[in-house]
Amino acid sequence: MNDLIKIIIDGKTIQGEPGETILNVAKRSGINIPTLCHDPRLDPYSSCYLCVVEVKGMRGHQPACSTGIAEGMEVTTNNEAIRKSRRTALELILSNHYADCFGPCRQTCPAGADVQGYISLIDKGMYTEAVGLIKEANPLPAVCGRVCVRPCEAACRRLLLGEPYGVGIDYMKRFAADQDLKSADHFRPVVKPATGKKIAIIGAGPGGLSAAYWLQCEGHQADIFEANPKPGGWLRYGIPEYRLPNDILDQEIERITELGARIFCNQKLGDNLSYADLKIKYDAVILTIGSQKGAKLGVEGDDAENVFSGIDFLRNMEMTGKRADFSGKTVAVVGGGNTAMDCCRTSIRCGARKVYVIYRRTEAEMPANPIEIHESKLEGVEYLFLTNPTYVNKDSNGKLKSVTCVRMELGEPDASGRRRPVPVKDSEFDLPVDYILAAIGQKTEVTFLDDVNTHASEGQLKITKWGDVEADRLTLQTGIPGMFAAGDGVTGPATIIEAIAQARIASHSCIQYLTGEPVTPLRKEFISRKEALKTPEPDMMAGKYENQVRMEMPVLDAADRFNFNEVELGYSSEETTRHEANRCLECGCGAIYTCDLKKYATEYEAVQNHYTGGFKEYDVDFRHPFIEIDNNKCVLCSRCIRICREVVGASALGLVNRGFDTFVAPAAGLSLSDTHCESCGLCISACPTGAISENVPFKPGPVKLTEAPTIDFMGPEGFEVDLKHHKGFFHEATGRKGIINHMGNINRRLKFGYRLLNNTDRITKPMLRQDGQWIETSFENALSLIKEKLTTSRPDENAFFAGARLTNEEQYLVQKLARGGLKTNNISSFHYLGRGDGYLPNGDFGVPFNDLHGVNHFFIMGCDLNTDYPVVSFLVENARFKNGARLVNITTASETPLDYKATSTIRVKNYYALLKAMNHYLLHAGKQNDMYLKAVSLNVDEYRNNLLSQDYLALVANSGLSQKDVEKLADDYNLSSNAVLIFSEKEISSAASTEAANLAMITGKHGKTMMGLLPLRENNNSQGLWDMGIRPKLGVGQQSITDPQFRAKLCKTWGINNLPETSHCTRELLETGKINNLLIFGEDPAGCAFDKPEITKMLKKAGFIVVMDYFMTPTAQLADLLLPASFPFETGGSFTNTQRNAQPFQATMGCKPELSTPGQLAALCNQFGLPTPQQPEEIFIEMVQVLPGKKCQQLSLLTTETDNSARRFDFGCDALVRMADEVFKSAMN
Amino acid sequence: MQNTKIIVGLGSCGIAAGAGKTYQKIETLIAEGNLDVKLGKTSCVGMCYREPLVEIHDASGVYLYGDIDESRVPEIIEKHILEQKPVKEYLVKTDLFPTPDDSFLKDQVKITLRNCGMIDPEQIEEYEAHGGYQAVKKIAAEKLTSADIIKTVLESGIRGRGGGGFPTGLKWKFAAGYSSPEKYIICNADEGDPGAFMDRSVLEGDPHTVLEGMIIGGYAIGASDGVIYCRAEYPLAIKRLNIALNQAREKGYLGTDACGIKDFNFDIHIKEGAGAFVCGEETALIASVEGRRGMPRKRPPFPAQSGLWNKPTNINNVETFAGIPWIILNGAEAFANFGTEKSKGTKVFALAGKVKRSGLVEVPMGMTIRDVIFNLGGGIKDDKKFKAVQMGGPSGGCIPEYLADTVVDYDSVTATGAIMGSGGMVVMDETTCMVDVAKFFLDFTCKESCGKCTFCRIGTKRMLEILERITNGEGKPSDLDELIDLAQQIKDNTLCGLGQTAPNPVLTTLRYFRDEYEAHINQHKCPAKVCKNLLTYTVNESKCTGCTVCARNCPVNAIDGERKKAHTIRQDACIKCGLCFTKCKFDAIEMS
Amino acid sequence: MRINRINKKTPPTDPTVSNFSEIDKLLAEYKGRKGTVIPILQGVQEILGYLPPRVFQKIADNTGIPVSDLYGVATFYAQFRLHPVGKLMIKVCHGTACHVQNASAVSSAIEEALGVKDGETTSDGLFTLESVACLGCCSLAPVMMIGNDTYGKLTGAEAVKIIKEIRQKEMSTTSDPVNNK
Repeated sequence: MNDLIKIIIDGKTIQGEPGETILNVAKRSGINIPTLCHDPRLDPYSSCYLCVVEVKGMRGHQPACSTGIAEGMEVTTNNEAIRKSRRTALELILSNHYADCFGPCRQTCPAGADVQGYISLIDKGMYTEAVGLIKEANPLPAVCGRVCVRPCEAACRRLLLGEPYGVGIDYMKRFAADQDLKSADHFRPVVKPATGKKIAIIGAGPGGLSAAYWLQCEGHQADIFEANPKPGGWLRYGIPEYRLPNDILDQEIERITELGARIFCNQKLGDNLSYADLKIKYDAVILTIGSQKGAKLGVEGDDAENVFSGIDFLRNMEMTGKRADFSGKTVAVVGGGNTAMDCCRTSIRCGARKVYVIYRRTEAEMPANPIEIHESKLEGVEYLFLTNPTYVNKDSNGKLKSVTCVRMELGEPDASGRRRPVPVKDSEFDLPVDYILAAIGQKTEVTFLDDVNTHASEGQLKITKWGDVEADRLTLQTGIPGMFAAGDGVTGPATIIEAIAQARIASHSCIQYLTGEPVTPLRKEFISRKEALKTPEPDMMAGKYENQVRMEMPVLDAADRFNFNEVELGYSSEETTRHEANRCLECGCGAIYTCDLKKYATEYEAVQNHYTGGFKEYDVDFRHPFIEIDNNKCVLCSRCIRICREVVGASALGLVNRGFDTFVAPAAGLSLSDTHCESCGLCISACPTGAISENVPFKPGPVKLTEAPTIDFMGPEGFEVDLKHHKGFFHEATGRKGIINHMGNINRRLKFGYRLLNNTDRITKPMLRQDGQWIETSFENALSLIKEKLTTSRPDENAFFAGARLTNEEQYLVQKLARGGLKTNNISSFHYLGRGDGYLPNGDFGVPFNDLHGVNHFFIMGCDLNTDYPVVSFLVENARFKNGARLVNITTASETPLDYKATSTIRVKNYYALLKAMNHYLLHAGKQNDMYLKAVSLNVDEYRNNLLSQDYLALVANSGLSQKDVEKLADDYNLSSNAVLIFSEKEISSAASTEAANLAMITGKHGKTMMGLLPLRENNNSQGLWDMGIRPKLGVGQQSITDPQFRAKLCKTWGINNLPETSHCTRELLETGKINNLLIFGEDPAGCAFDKPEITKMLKKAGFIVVMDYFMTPTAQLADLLLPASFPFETGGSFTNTQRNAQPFQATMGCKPELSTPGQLAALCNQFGLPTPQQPEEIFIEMVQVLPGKKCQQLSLLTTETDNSARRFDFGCDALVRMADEVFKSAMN
Repeated sequence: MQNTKIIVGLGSCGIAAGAGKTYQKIETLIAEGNLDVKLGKTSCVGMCYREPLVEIHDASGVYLYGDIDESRVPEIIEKHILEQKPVKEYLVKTDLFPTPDDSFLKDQVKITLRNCGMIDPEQIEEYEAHGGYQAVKKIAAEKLTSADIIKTVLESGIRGRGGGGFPTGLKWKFAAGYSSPEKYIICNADEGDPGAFMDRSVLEGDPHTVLEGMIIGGYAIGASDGVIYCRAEYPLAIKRLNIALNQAREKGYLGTDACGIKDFNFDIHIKEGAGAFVCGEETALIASVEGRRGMPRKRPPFPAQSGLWNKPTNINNVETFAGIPWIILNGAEAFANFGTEKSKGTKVFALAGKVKRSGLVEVPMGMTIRDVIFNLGGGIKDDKKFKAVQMGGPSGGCIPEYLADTVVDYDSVTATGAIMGSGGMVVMDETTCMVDVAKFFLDFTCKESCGKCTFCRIGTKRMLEILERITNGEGKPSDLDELIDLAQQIKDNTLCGLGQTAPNPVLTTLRYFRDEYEAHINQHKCPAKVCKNLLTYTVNESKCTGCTVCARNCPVNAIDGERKKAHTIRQDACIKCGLCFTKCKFDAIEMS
Repeated sequence: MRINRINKKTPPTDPTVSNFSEIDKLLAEYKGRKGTVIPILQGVQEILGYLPPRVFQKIADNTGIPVSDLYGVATFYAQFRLHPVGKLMIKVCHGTACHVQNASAVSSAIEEALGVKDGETTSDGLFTLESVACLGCCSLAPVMMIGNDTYGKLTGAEAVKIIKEIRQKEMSTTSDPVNNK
């Protein structure tokens, strides 16, 4: 034991082990030091220089990740100079980080709506979830989906591909919002418990409604006071119904009031509502008053009758509920904004004979939405561009007669950047019109100023020089504490989405105020933007994406528009919407929730373009079907390269070039799929940014993911994993550090196979085959049908098969059902069918995984480590990297995935013969470890006599090696210290497995630290099959079913008085057609068989087949009755891994089928008079009661006579493993 | 004519100057004239400025001729050999009379270079005749132990001549302190500093002394193997090393019981570098020898503990090893007698740039820079104004004229902001732009950065871009603060010497020549008239005679004009190469 | 559905290397030794003049050294070339001494005269122009090296003159400089 080293970090004395780094020691004692390049799984590297610290007496800064501790060291981890260095490191990295955190859509949206995120949900048909996401930034998606000015679409990069239109973001949003409005189970946000605080909101326009939404979500009571008779503000009184139907608006308002917000109409501040009251009754006030006073035309004669401001005209119609009658009249609308559009198109709908739009610039400068202009033209509106009214001519009654206009031309650009129109001399002309609607701007009306200021006890409300409410730009706090203002009333006339964005800020400030925190601006998170380095141009996009035509919005035929029916009809189908969703280029980064660069850049307030200069631009490499490399985002930490070298052993990635030109790639332009890449995904887990990411087949979003921790259900190691999902849709699987999974690693099968969990063809209800068709049936029917079938046959005409993937609890119930309920011992698994009992002790024979790091010689016999046994594989590789451990690969195959890693590969003919020959040699030559054998093993002489009587040379010949090589191998294993023989039941027969165990004992290696044997089972709960009694002769805990004590214990526990005594070979029964009713739980013999026709024929001999599985497997297709299986993480339970660690896990997802697997099994048991609980925990407790007491097992050399490699099924007979491997294979080809 | 011997200097520099042809010509003439004259070769004696050098030994004495290209050979043979009359005008050094070049040699003390230019480097016997392999013989004869040798080296005070300046004896002591059956001693011959060529000269001129130094070091630390990591760009050095290695093996200096020392089994192999400056850094060098990318790692562990193949390893550079045999033979005190308090012995400098006599000089530590440049170097070319001297290459800095009385030793040079480095001394005059020099070095380190550390990989590039902006006339006043700030941060936050010293050329030029930077930024002027984008060339019509020289020399045909009429330069086409300016005999081209 | 991206990267195409036998010999020589990556690559470049992409896989298969390592090394060191070069390398020294004595003028004059940039090869395959750090002939600055011959104390015009003479000589002695490795 080494002495501990004491160091001082930030004034705290901390102890560490010799060889530890500052970073480790600091981390352990809760001092966080940022780093991008350090990975605890890997050797120290030091490239990012984020982890710098000061060490007293050392020059400059030291990287904490590679600086070893020394006695008395004094370390400072955080001061101004260190923070500055870290910020500079980040800024330097970011100056060469040509990548976007968010797409331009989200960046451009004033409210910052996560466009890419909600499009990804819409694409998956998750409309309610999409609405939920939208409402985080915008509580009015159905409204905005119709009338937003859509800066997002104008910024869309699809335009750079030369396509005329960006992605139809609003169309999709509208579709999702409409679906949600229609849905019985519409989106409801999580509302925090009521705080008792009350807020008065003045004005029920988009800003007021939005503020109310967010305040309610936080548990505050929001009361809105609205001057008009109905809520909605501009949405109701400014926007005509053909664009935004009132019922949509009403429904969306309803979604806010249902949260508890109240709206009081006809209440006008400064009129019939006084601040004096508000101040008493409310804790805070938010002014969302809008900017509603229409501007006059502003030319001489504009006081003529029939000259109106556009918004007064629109509001008036809404207030009175009466449409204007313009039949046969000529209307001139002045202006070029959206209000002008609303006026001219409304005029058409009011029967006008002729409608002009007079605009002083050209169409190109019009601020109105192009689609509006387009539609208005379709409807017959005539445009007079470069025209400006100069005089209104009245008749003698003061009634409008005509308007005098002047022609304009465009001069120099003005402050807005648009070219300033100037009149053309002598170009006046008269235009006879009946009505003029002036849509040239609005003003804010602040009639309540006196009332507020009179009653304000502290501070004063002020007005800006433009007549708007004055509020702090960043917090929207007005001059009066507790009073905030948002929307047009602050900014002057702007857009709906801007008003919503402002409401977000004001409510945030208001919430801070209410909770007594200082009112501060929303924390700005760091956002990497390509534009910070260089605005993307068409040639940077060219050739990278396929062109896709925009799904256009269906509209009313122009001829059908002389009414106020909604013109835009909305996307007609999910398919159309999905088509449009598909156009999204996914500009934003998939790693925004996990990216360390973003996290630290935010923390250290880095500025992306502090340092400007040359940067590198790379094409994204997505040739590998599961892994994509985006060097633009790479920080050159080399973690991917190093993990691939140090842990995976594949060295598929490397650095190319040097200095500033360095990048990460497989060599020489190769695709990762052309290298030794094992597709384990560890590189993805190592990447601190989004440079190496999963190439997913669905729109990644990204969206916030929820972790569902569970245990690997596709392999026997029992390593801990997190399935990550968004509302049930799985996005990712990652390794989780745990007892088994020290390094938090994962393998290909789960890393990418999790996608199967999203398959939409999952069986969730019992299905009955009738006339060759599957029909759904109830669980009740299904279970009683089973009972009927089983009870009409003799007990032994029934057979039960339980899969190795079932939980212990499920396996236990299957055999309980068979033995206790049906009184038969016909209980088995296809997994081990006909393979003998030689595998039984394997669960106890293994060198603990945790010892593998110290092994120096690995003998790997017949197993594909990296695919099937990642934890072992990575430990082996790491031992190879760290201690130069040797790897001898022994295989019958002509080629194995391990060949290139192995120090040497030995090709043999037969493992059994080889092992037996080795044992023969060792015993014959007297090289056995006698001391060991004497101490621990029985049967030594018997075994020796038997073996030595056999023909050594025949064994050697069968092994496929020369005598010399057999003996060399035997000596090698025998004499190498810290040597482990690893093999898998997949390829090694049970007889060979027994001989391997004999070898470990003969050499005296078994049971010693870091040496011996490591047998590996096939499936996640293969061990459970042995322990839970899924054998005809063995019951729970490997107890003999003929053992009277055990039988008595079972009867007592199960509440029955008899149990079946005889047992049969289930394989024979099946083959000879003696089984009438065949129940298969969680296995797919027909799909996994090597000889499919033979197995299918065998299965078909049964009269009635019940199959329980997730999907319609080939076995399921043979069934008469299908039962839906639940995934383990839907029910919880326990698995026993290949090292016999029983690990419980919880249900972390809702169960899709109404009745879970244990639920169905328990119900069946109950039907057969066996009282059985449904909950895994309770089943476990019951199971424990019938376990044997602990007894010490005496080791023994076991004689085997012949090989018995009768493996009939691949994939451990599990459909899920089969599907995962098949998907992988087809993707790689 | 009897006993006459002609020796031609055939170092790389000599060959570049045409010595190969000179040698052939002499050979031909000897054969043709059937002369009784021996022809031999040696390597560089350091007087590169007079290459090709030919030395004639005859009964009357030793005569060193300079600038003897092929065409002058007949004259020398004719007059000196046949007529026995030395040709005075080409004589560089003779006992007959003093020459101006005497001062080049007079103040030098040759320890490292003791055999360079004296012996034929391809003949081990010549080395032996000059005291070669006497040090190892002494060790064998006197049964000196590892500790004895380390003690001597420690006492001699010799410090690493590669640039670091770490005491060599101490380094050996550390390496000797780790026991392992495999242990390595490496000679760093990856001389990468632009402007430094002493290692090349030593390897070409006296390879055996390096081998002997390594054998002594190997014995002292208990090494099992030696590796010479030599840049592939030095083919002649590699060739001569290989010859030397074979000869040393044949003579038993290498191999089993090397040098006759029992159980001292030691051999040396050459590893050719492949072109990466950063491999001068120990851990990068080790990575390179192991066949990996030359990327440094954090120390500790130091190579002494875990170096090549994770075994204890000691690395010294060529010049250090070359001095070792002399120290062992002559004793620590003899060496320590030269130099200053903390910097003992002599140091080789590669004198180059705007100096009259460029070449290799070896001087005792403590000589002033001014003496080196003016006494040895003969002053500034064309008698222009001395502005600065760059020392230490890309890791070093520029020492201004007013600090020229600084003495050369590790600490004094470091105090100026430059470093001693491997010994490059590039002299600069008034026509050298210091911003341009800083840019030059940064461009170099930027290209040579291995790319591992953020600050070095991106930081040096950003600094370079700022300097480019400044030399293009686009600099901002705030750029200087930005430069200093970045420079300091790069120094503080990088793993290896390359990054830690990369900003030095910028920092020293900013320290001593800030006004030049400011002129570029504020007045958009390059005072030295180097930065192209800040220059315009025009023809002074009153001076132009229409001789057409400028037009004919213009590489881009940007000069128009008829014969005998004033020419004009088309500014849009001009690439500002300055050729017209240098070619015009009438000072009619004006630069502003 | 994910966006439809277009894969632009095509696997590298190699000019046919007719004969690997010399390389086989080289690889056999280094078999089983450690630290041989650089010498092997140097040897292959000596044989082929450069390192064609296909050769990396070959070396990897023979030595067990990952391709990523080989390629990483080949792209790290300045000596290795991944593209064919001309018959003669023109190495213009840009060391400190050369730099302060206007080596850039030499480079630009050559670039102008040959119509190639740094690192490029002339269309007739005769010359490849390359800037190098330091040739160690500082006393003769500015210096260039063509083939194995060094030329010192240059100006742009002199350099161009030397190159033109060499070209003339080459043209008269060989009709097909490209295949004359």
